[in-house]
Amino acid sequence: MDHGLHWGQSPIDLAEEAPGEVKFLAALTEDAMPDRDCGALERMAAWEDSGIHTGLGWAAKALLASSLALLLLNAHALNNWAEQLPVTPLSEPVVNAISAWHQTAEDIGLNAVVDKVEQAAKAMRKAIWP
Amino acid sequence: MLFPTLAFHVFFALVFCCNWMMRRAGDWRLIMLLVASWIFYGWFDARFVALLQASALLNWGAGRLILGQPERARGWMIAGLIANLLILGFFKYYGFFVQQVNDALLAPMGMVRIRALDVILPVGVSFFTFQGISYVVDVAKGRSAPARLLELALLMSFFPHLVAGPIVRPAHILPQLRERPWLSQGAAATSLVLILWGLVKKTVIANELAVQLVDPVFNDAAHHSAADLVWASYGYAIQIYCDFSAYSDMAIGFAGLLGFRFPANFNQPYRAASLQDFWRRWHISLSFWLRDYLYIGLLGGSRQSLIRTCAALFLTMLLGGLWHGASWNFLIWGAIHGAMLVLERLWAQFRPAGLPKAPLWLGRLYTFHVVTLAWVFFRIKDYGDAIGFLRRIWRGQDGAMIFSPWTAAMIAIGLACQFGPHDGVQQLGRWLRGQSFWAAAGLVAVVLLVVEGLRGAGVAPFIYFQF
Repeated sequence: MDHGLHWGQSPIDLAEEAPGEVKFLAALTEDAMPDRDCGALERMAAWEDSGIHTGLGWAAKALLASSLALLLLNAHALNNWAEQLPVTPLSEPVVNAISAWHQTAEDIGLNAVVDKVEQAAKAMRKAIWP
Repeated sequence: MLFPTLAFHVFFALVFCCNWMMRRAGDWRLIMLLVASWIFYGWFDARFVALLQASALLNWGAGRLILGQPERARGWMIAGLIANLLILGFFKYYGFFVQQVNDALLAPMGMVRIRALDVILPVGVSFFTFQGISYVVDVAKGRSAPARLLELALLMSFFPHLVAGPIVRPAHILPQLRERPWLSQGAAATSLVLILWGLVKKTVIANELAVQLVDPVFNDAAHHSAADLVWASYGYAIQIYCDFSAYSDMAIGFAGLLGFRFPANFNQPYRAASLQDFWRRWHISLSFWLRDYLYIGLLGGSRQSLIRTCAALFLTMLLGGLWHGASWNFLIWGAIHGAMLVLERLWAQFRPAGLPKAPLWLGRLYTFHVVTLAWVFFRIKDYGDAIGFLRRIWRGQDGAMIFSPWTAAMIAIGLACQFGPHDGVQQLGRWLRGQSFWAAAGLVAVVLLVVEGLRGAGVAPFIYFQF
């Protein structure tokens, strides 16, 4: 019976991060597991022991920072989403606030990156063979 | 809910936070992921969430019966398979079957036609049904541990792979559901690279090719030149690769950020030097599924006479074509692949010993063109229209030419992906792993802003959603 996906079969597997030899869990960890009848449980312990740097904090901070940057610099996407919302007493103030933010972002030039890329893409689409 | 949308961005951010806050919560984490997956699926059509739940219940029940009554295991396995195929058959093939019976039998005999029901195809029904079949067969054959209902429901419904794969095997995912999730910085970085690269492939390359070249030419072939038709055919080959592989990349990336490892689904398919090689690189999870459960499991594989092996190969590809949908053109697509695979096998068997081996580039050129020819039947729904399209190319038809430097660049980038380093994503992941989170956030934001500017108006649904 196969237990889990072999290391290297997923595109996110980096060779140097292979969990290595399966190790048995420490008694404390073993107690915390809901079901012992599954071989791959041991892999976590192998990872934690091997000194591979955890990426959760790094990924969470990267996702948060990029989401904030997009909120700031991509008011177009927010506005497009708001325009598709059904008009209800609940959605109306949200749509108005987003529309106002879209206009403010436009005025202070925060949409410039997207606008410039859009213009460049339009020009490239129109290019013809010499 | 499409991946490259603001709604999904918000949805995923919430699921990401809940998943990691609940990483020590055992089954509660799985319940949260299951409910999130149902919300994701219900976003397309809430009515079909019940179908998904019923399908999970059915397969779990079949698994229990197989293990509970070992003397009748084979019977329960067959019953489980039939139940799964009935679900798939009703939603996917009922309309086609009724139309064929009406046209071929009832109409010529002057009999009353069978009334066709207006059946709506649930998104991703082929994918979750195949996963259900995998579970029933693997439990019966001892290849997978039995799952609890919660685990199987999540295995079949997990939102990253729910609507367009990859088709994950129970033996690959069940152990991951039972272990506490863990995320290395390398896995996180590589997942981000996959998501960003998938986004570029879908929203820029595939969308631009569809809007600027493929759709206008295929929808109005009579008014375009033969050269345009040829370029549109190449364009479609690149479009469908970028569209489908993008979904798989993003699915693997999103699952990776939640602590799950999904298998690879594409491996530079257009660098394949034979059809056999192509099917080891294209939609790997489906081709391996067909190989294991149909070609070997049901039809006997290659451990039989050559004639029977060739028939099994051809039939497997024919059914693989039919899996995509109820249409004669999907059957023709499968038949082209099946016939060429059979020819390759016969050639390997009877090739004169002294004949020099064809150079690699020739094998790649041949494979790419066979695959592109088959895509014409895949893209055009009507058989007559597809033949007409090929005739116009053959005759060298005059007409409009919309193939532009921009679409040429998109095709060139799509082809370049095939011949870059095979571990390019992992190399980029290693590089990103070494950067600060600020740099990673900057990269994500810049790529998303550029994509937003390039993608024009809206995002078309993924091609494989219809399957």
